[in-house]
Amino acid sequence: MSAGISHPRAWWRKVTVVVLASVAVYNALIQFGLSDRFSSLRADPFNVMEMQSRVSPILDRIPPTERVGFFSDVPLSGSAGRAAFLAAQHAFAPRILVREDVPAAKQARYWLAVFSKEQDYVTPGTQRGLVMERDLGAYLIFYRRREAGR
Amino acid sequence: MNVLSWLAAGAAGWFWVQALLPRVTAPAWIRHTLAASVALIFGTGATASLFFALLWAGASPTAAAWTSDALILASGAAVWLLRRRRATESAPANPARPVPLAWLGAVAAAVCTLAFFAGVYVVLTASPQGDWDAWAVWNVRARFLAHEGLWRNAVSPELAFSHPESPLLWSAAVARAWSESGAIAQAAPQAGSLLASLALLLLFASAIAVRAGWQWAALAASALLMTTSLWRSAPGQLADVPLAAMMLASVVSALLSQQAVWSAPALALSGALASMAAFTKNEGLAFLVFLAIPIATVARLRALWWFAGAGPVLMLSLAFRFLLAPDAQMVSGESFRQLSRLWTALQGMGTEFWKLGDFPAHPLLFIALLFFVFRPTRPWRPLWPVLPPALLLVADIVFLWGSPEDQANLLRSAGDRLWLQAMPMLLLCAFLWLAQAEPESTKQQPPPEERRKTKPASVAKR
Repeated sequence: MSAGISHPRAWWRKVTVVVLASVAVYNALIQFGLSDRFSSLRADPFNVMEMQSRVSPILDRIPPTERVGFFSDVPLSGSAGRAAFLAAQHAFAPRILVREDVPAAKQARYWLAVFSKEQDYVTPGTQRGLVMERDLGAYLIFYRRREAGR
Repeated sequence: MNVLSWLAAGAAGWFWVQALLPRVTAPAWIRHTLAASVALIFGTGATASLFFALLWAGASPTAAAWTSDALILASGAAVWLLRRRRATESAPANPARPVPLAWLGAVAAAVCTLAFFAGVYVVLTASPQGDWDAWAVWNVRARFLAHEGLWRNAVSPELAFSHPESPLLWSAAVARAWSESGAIAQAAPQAGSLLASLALLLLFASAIAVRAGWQWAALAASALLMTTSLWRSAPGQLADVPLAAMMLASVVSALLSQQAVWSAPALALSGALASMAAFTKNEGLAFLVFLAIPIATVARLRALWWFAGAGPVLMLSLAFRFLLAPDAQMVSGESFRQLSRLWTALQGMGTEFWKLGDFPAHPLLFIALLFFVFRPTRPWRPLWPVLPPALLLVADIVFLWGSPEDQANLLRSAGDRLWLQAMPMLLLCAFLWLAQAEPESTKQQPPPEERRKTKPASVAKR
């Protein structure tokens, strides 16, 4: 490997290797710093793990084959609404989460609602024929469909 | 068990790789690193594909997971026992041009690798759920696959926003780990992500080391680790890193096959790895087609071995697409009619390419400087491995142009990952060209006086 030293560009090659090695190490340290800062700033930006821990106490009550209804005052067309829906889907899996505007939602016995602020949680449920079961905290409300004849 | 399950898949794949890859002329530690990284990628893909096929056939997740491991391990051991005396010898690689201060490159590569894995570990620990696509698509579908009798939920048209039409290999790999461990814990996708990144990096470096020596491999590893999207995607638990590893492993196996006069077993291994890429993401299917073209052109009739290797998982992938996956509109004529979308796609991919590195650390600048100073010998060979990643990038641009989805959102969320899939293959080609030794005729001649001094005695007499 020392044969290259006699090459006319040998000096340039040495300089290039020194420069590239230095830049690579500098970049690796910068990237590590960015990773470290990112992890301390945005550990769970979409509240996926928080959703999982809040929903876990009620999961045993819902059979895995059930469809779970979902509604929210945050529009699902936006990324915030979509993130809330998908985080809930992740927490409820293997149960499929269905939006209230799809036909399968009519059969859903259990419902999850995600609100953006503190409010009266009973009325939105009553309007949909649901009974509020449990406030899971962080504006997450668990409902059950009102049984026929009651 | 969440970690051991991935290593078990690698062990199952090891026999297959030992049996099918040609013996290369390289130091033992380089050969073993190459074999171990390909084994991890192949084993993960093979066990996950078989796991999903068994689920589809009606097995429970636990039975499917253990059976797939046992079958891949037993069949691999049988093939290895049959072939170990007849393994193809690969011709020694051409001598590579020397790298001055190679030890410095090795130190840089070691520091970069340590920093990279420390960064991956820090993010994995702080954000166990991973990036958006990990928890919203791949891992959520893995949860369906891991529950007995509910795997079809992973392909249910009712599954909103989680792309039930996407291929399932990576979700199946995670679900297999969960089924073997008996519990759904975030450690499984975390370990899978970490090991896939490790396999990608080791495969990339060892493939270059086999053909050009560790000196070039160290520089190449430093260049790959300048790709910032690798730093973001690896701890994000995205399917793009294992996909990039499968595509690179397929190209490397084909290169080693070519070196061994188109060894049929290595070609079959390359085909199998390409078909696993096709069952991991839609880009993988495009890659399979784009690799089949140069293989069929350069290997001619031997390419049939490549297709034979690709057959089993490709059939599973096509059966999934046509029999299970719900319909999804990937491109629309309306989008193609808007030429402004093509311009936006080109501009977006250009921007994402620029953002692949943080100035002055950019893989392109790294390569450009090396090309300027080392002046690789023309013709650049091998040329065919650059075709699949190049065509893949063209296909990505066409997809971004024709997709009915919001183009800005697509570019923002996927642009850097599309580059990440192609970068290891592109860098591999660039470093193989760079390392090509200069032909004797172009080497520097000593000055005339020196030439006279060193004249052979017979010439001096005349």
